[in-house]
Amino acid sequence: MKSVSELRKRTAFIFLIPVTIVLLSSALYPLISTLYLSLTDAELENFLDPNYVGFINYLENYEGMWYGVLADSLFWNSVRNTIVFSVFSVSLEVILGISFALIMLIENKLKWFVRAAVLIPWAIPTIVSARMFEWMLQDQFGIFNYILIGMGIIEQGKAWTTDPQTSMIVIIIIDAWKTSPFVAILVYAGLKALPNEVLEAGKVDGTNGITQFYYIILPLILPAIAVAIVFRGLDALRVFDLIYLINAGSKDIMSMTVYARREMFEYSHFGFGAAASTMLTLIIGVIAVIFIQRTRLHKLDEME
Amino acid sequence: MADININTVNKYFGDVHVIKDVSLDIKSQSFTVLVGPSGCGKSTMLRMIAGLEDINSGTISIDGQVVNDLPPKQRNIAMVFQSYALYPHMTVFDNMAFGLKLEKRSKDEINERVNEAARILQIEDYLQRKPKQLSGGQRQRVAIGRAITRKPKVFLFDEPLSNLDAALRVQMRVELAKLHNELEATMIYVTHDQTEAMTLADDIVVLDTGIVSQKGSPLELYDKPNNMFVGGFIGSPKMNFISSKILSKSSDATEVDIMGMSKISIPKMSASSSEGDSVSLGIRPEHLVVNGDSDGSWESKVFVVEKLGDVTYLYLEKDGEPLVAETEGHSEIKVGDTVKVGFPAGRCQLFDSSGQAFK
Repeated sequence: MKSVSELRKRTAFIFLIPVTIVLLSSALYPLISTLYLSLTDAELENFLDPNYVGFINYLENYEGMWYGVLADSLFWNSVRNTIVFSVFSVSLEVILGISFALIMLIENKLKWFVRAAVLIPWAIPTIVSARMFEWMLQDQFGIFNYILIGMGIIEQGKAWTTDPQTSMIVIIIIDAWKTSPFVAILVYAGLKALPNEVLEAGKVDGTNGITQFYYIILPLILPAIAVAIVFRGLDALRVFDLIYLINAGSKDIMSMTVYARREMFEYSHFGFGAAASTMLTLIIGVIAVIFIQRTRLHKLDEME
Repeated sequence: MADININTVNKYFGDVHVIKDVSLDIKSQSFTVLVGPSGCGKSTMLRMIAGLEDINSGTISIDGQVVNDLPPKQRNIAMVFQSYALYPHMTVFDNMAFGLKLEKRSKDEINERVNEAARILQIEDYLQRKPKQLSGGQRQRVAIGRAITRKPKVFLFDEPLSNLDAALRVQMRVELAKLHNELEATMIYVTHDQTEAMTLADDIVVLDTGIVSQKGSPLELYDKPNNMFVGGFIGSPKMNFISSKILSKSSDATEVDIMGMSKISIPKMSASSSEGDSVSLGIRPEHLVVNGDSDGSWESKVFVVEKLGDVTYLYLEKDGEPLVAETEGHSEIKVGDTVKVGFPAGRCQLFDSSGQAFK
């Protein structure tokens, strides 16, 4: 006769088997095969039968010169771009997301419209929003330049998406426009879950709009914000589509993913590209672990 | 010093008229309990005094100043909520200090006031804990402490004890009574529990569907209910109501019958009543005389016996009219026995068909 808790454990184990199999085959296998590929000299010609070459795809000193991903200034440039993009876009999205969420809370006849409208940018496919912004920012016919010229701020159209000075800013703004709704929905759910009596107790204690937000609402929705930051942060560190669509070749905005893809599929340096991909995974992993530790997100249950 | 004057106040939630022309004068430093069944508007009344609900018409003044349009913080009030409503992310100390911090008081003053409140409520040991680490009773104390530290003129309590278990509720009730004596503040207390109302109040206000049914001291309400609603609401077990008819009227008494079994002359009058009118005779279980002689009587079989130790409740019924009688704790009466209950005329109430009491 088995005890109830043993039976429960066994049931739990059975339920976990399918998802474990799916995860192992869809995540662990590609991860390991990429890791393996990065230690070979695989290119298009010998893809099926590559030679093990150790870590030379990562770093190698050949006749006094350094080679490999870690010695490639373009790689480090892409790391820098990715981090700049992630920090600024996620920060902007959190600020905008909280603002939208607060606006969505306002009770009036238009609330259903506001709630639906907020979601539209999130629903539009990236390819569409990227092309949309490209056209709006186009140097000759774009409405943005037209308005700026009309207002006398600039004299002639500027190619915002290809100009090295502005292209990063442009993709950050497009990304923020597109994904702030995601943050807004998460924060909105957090706001909706706030206990009303606590806010009322605050009013009796003398809070006004600003002090109420700063001392009561913000600390209480911090877990929701942290979740949003983790999701958005990991997404941003892996950003590919938007940058690829706006300007795949520009080193000013090239992200780690775009760099790895170019090595692998444009130059057919599979081993080298796999090494770049592995570095990308490592960097994201380290950042994620540090962030989750710092925000104590894994101890969310114990907070409150 | 803070009198509260409520003058013909009305409140609607959409189309629902929840407070109807309520006028009340609450004396400074009194302990007033708003009591009534759920949905009677008592919490809404309290929230309007707090400034958490708008007032549709009428005025509320605190200390002579009309506060209709003042936010809660300018009304010099503090409120204790049913759910305690502590700030979950702050320590007990910070919970209690929050209002003072917003008022930009000095650190020393905040420390002094919080420690003083903590001492009164015996929560000094928990000051650095978070609300989650406290029991229900401790959280309740913190909620009260948060109210005390700000030294408001008026304390508002919204069913503060209803989330506590029975033993703790009795204990906190006594402490609240003590606190009222110590703080000399005006306290308004909402509850649906008539025991809390009876034990704590200087004045009880019974609300019934948005109307003040009666206001008075606990014993006034107990002895002289204005109407059947108050008669039935105050007292536990409830007052018995028996349908009856007026047999005759004299200059200072009304004679009615008791289930055709006996007649009783009750020293109460109503000018609008006349012979033959249907009335309700009200008498509390504790005033019935079991198996003894009294002014009127009725006989019935006993259906249920509840022995509580100090008293025994007998549940009787005759021709569809139920009656609860109280007798001594160690009563020998068993289910199925027939008992005779006596009605002392001086303890009987009469209510006309609209529920208004004879005086």
